[in-house]
Amino acid sequence: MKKSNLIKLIVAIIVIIAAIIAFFVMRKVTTTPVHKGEKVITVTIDDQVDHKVIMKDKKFDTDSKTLLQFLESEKSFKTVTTETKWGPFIKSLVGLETKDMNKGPWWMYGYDSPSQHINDKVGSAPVASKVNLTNGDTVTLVFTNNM
Amino acid sequence: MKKFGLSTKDLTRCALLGAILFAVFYIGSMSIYGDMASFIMLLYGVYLDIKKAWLSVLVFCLLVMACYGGVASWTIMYLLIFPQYMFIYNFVAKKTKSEYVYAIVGFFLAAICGTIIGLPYTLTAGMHGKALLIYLTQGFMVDLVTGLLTFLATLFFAKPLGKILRRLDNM
Repeated sequence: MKKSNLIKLIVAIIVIIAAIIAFFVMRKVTTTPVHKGEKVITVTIDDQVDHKVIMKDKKFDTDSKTLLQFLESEKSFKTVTTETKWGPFIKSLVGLETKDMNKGPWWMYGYDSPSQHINDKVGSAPVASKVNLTNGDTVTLVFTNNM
Repeated sequence: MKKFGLSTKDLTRCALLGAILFAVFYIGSMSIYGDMASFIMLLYGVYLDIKKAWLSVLVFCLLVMACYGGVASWTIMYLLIFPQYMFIYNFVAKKTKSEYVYAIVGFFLAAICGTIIGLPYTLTAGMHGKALLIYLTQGFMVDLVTGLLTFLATLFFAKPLGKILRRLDNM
């Protein structure tokens, strides 16, 4: 093979590889959803055991119908639930787990939904599978020893 | 008899070259990523006299207009852009004989043509932010492949095909 053709071949291979990489990078950009869901939910996570605010007023786009679906759909929450006679109980969130169900600490939450005129303080909200999410809702999750 | 410095024979040749370009475009339009029209335009721009290249591409654009969208924003953009590409190719051909430079210029012009053609829509659709970015990126993905094909075809086939084109032109 002539030297000039060999150079052309090498250049062609390099350009093809670069184009393939660029193509896949662009495909990743275009397949990232602009809006994951129709609802925007504001979340605060407060670890009162270690006196640390893990998340403050972070907004999430979601399609989830209930609070439980939302918590389970967001991978970053690492949600673990356990079934009780009252419904699913949040056993672990963001790596913080209830070791002893009798002694705690436990995960509790408050729920504010202006569109539904609901404002449940922390500890007074219903079971997560029965909390219907609407756009603009705010959820405050607290890891606490105070039941 | 000569019009604009071109004989009847030249004008017929331009019509034929425009028709060949249209045929290549038509075949390429059957596959989203198979467009070689940009490469043929590069050949015309680099290896033909500027008047003939410009007129041939003008014929092509008018054929596209006649056979596809009629007077639509994109067919008008074809008319505005592609004949002008001939000036760029002609300018580059005067400066260098390197097929590498032709290939890079061909890649660039093929890769941006979709974005330029879509400008009227982009400007009037009211898109902004991420929606605009995604729209432009999706278009650029197709153009990237067209640009790549133009680059490779220019690198390997421009010189031999250019010689044939020049021989036909001098017949």
